[in-house]
Amino acid sequence: MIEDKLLIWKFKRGSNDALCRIYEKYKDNLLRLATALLNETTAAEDIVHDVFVLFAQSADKLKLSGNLKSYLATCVANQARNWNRARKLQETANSNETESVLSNSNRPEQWIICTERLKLLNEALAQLPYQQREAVSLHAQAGMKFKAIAKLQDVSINTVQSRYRYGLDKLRSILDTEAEL
Amino acid sequence: MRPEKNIEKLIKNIDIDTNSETDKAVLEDILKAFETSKKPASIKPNIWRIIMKNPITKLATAATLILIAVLTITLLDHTATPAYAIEQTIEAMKNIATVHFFATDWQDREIETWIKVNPETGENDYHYINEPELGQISISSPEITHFYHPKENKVRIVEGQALRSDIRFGRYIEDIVYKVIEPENGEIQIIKEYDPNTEKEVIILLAESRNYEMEAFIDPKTKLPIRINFARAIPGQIIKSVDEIYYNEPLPEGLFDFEIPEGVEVIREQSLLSVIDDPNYGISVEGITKDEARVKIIREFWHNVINKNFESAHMLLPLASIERLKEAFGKLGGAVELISIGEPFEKDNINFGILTPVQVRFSDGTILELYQITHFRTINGKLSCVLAGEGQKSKRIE
Repeated sequence: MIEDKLLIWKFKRGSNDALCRIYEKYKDNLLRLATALLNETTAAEDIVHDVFVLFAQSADKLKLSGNLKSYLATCVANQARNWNRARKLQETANSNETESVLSNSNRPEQWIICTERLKLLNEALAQLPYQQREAVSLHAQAGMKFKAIAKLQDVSINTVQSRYRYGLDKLRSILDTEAEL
Repeated sequence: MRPEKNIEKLIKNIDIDTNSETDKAVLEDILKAFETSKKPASIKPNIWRIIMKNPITKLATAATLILIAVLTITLLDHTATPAYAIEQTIEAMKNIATVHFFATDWQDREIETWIKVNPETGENDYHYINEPELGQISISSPEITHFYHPKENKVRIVEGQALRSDIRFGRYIEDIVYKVIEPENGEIQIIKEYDPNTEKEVIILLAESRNYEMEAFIDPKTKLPIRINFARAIPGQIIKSVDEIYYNEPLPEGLFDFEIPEGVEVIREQSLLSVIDDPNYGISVEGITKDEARVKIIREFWHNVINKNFESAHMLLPLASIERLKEAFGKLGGAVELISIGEPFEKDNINFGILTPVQVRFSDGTILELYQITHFRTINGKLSCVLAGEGQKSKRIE
């Protein structure tokens, strides 16, 4: 398997093949992460699309010291936060126009085909406080280290580990009572 | 209750399906964004060309010490040829007597080069460099260097070897590894891959450090580089890629003997490349900040140019001879006003100084924006700076 470092090397030299490979390698993971963080497929699709477009445009500036998977996951997490912030502002401004979650599974040109299992898991994740949801998704789903999540959330590693543990506990109890996955 | 591990497993392994049509459409968007963001490679100093030789980086480490220097070589993937080691290329290059290569510069112009290598030292003792699109043929020997400009019917003569580089072509990989990559704690990676150009498996040597990125395609048979691409190069390097390399070809007769054609204007210049780190040039940065020094040297330089004091201007910009300064700034009726000095910025391929945009008015009313490089150096423990040419093409504002 071609390592990420080589892919990045080639990508920075303008290789379309390398970019395609990065996309194929990580798109599913990022889509899964984005839906977990947002519980809204359209927004998740938009965010992952934007993350890849921005990534493609950053080839000459990209200075990646850590791993690529973690870097892309952080980009998705940051975009998801921005989106959540924007949504909250919108909801405050116009409380009657709140969008329903996962209401758009049959719209045309959808990217994610939402399985029942994914839907149930995301609904369970959506019941966690956002910081816990983020810690659980980034660690368990995107494989990010607690240290990197701590940096992203600007808290100590212990706090992230606690958020992760509490998140998992809560998720376990939700899933046990609400659904059978 | 489910065990914690099961929940983690569930999250990790949850399937996601995607619409393959949308997959393709998104990928097209991404590739489109990638294509539009691709820029031409960064630009070398373009008025007073520094050809190959890099006197700025004092990298002369003793060869014996170099050979025992420790270097981490990361084998990137499992397909890397286990039999190959970088030392094989270093050894193979010691048997090079001549090199003939076709290269491309940072502005995508073709360059043909012949080099006669001193097998003992690996130094490039003789050069023949033909840059047809630039209109320049450079021929050098240890005694003399000629820069012939056929279109301008002019030849510039510099005493001594003006084209020798700290990075010797005869020891190219060795010098890059130990003089460029290792001091910057860079990384060397070795990969084996199919090369569509040659339709053969090749070994790719990737060398990357803070200021340098190179990929060299190594022939698994001869262990010699057959192609080299640069993303970031050593200061002053004009070559972006070496596209074809031929080793130990017989030299065409009289290749390095230059006879000055009749009726050609002859300009004699001193060896400019030796002066950039000469303490007699430039200004001191003692007691002032680098930013203040940058502004000061640019102001002084233009004050001198505007007052036609090219001798003093040359003392601040030693890479340009007095004649070259007169030629460059005497055009358009001469500079009459330094309009502004902008904010400095760095450019990827200009790694020996910062660029400052400067707007200058000429007597015919033309306003040019130039991007001057300020080079800081520490000589005998004292910090000083000189101007080192331009980092990108100047543009006409009015």
